Amino acid sequence: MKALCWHGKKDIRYDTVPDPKIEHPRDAIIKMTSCAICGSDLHLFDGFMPGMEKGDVMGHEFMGEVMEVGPENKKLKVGDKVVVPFTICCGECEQCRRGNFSVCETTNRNKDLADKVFGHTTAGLFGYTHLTGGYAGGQAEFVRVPFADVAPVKIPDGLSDEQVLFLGDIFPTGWQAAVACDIQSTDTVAVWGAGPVGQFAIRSAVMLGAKQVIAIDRLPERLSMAKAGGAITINFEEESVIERLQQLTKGKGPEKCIDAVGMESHATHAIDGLYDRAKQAVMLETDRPHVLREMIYVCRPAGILSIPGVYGGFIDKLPMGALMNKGLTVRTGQTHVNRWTDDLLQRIVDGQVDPSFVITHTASLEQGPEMYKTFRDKLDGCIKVVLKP
Amino acid sequence: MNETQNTSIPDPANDKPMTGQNEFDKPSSGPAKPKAMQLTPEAMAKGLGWFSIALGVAELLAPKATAQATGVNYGKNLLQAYGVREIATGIGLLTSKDPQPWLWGRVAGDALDLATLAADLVSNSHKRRNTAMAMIAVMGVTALDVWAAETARREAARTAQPPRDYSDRVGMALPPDEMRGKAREAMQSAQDLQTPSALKPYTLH
Repeated sequence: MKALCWHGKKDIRYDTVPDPKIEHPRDAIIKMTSCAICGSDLHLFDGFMPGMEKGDVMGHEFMGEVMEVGPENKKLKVGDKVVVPFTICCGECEQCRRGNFSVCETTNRNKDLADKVFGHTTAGLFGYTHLTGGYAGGQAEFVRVPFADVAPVKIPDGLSDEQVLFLGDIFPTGWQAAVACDIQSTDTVAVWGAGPVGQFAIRSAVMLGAKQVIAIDRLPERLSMAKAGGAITINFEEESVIERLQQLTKGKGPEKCIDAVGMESHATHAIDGLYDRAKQAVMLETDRPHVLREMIYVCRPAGILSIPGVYGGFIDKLPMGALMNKGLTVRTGQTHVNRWTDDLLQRIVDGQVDPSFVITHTASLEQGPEMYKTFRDKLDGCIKVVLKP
Repeated sequence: MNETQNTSIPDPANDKPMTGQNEFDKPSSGPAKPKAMQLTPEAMAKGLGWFSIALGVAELLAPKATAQATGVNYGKNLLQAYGVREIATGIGLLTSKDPQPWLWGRVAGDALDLATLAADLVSNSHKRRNTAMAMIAVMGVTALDVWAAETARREAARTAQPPRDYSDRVGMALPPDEMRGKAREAMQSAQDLQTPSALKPYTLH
């Protein structure tokens, strides 16, 4: 089959790889009908996440048709249309029973490695380094889905791929980011990053009742989409984020702050960004935490910081004193996708939300390597790429 | 808990500005003051331009002192020639609308400097430590130059076309103001992501 494979920094190739096979009685094989490039894939593309090997199949946001199921899989049947959450979960361990699917204790095949790096293992993920199990990803014609009797979401007839594809990642990620803010009707929610997750976080915050939602980015096309979703916009290349947020909150700061940027915050608009980029270049720091610093500084005391943005390793110059003395709450983590999928799917069915608004580019899987560059460099107004086999 | 606590949620709209923060109590429609410093590709190019000129002038007018200060062992004529190159590149960076070629010119110059230093490292056994230190410094500058050039390239590619307007992409059934609060019941499914009752402000109980 054909798949997009990682071969090194900025080197994604459209390769021929062996077809996946059922390896466990609970598995399923999915024929991919739509997949997407996620912002967190760019951390792999840019070479900032350790644990990738040449030939690894990329992608963790995908859906398709069930082609084959293992003998113990009672949930799926051949022909089912499913969206596959990016977190692989067993449904049986203590964390899964609590609904903490992204930290499932059993699905990471490289648990020992994760135990060493993070202290404890987290869930296996599709196409996202050997630290999370080294599972082949979904930017491929066919995908083996382990524990396929737990996470895959069956899609009812009448819904297009474009409407439901993002149930596997960015929609619940933006949603969880907003839910983690424990939004009150009097809250101002500031969202750093108006990429795909930021867009869903903005709309989620509106639907969860925030009085005021503010989006911070530098790209006009992203800001125009954020405004469409109900956000007041700040272009950080044109004005001071801190001053503008103070203006919009009468000097008190936003009660809730969402970091939808993560480890690769834009490095050229602030001195600390340049500092982080230089340290990153000589491997003295892995991530660029400019957004975290800004959020801690500007957040209203006793507020909440919600961090869906992906971080991979180590940061420094984090203002811990401000974080502690201001009494801020930090909530973060990979998304517990299946906590939210029933509710969000129903909202799509009801017509309350149509996630396809975020798609700006659709291309063939073969064009994937080029689309990675388009997406990474924000060319051609690119916000979200969907790939078809 | 005190039974007599106020149970109404304070509306920030009715909040008074923070003491001493009256400058923030103004309409939120106008932009804030422009930022004092932004490291845009243009700003980086200008900074590197001035750096080039300063280094070039030093190499051209005081080659001996520059050689001693930087630890390089170039001949006087070669150092002055490199000074002219630095000045030309600096002027290009400061005056050109498109800094890209000049930034890549700096990268090429860095490569030439490194090659010269490498040759010096091999041939001159007396001052190897100085030469090695100079090489490390040039490598750092090279990394900055490559990054600035690459950033400028990306920005030029991105801004080659006018930005897209996605202001019609609401993504919700109704305009945002009509969707506000439509999903508040969803909070019931996330008790562990809600502030525990005991830690909530009294007014939110």
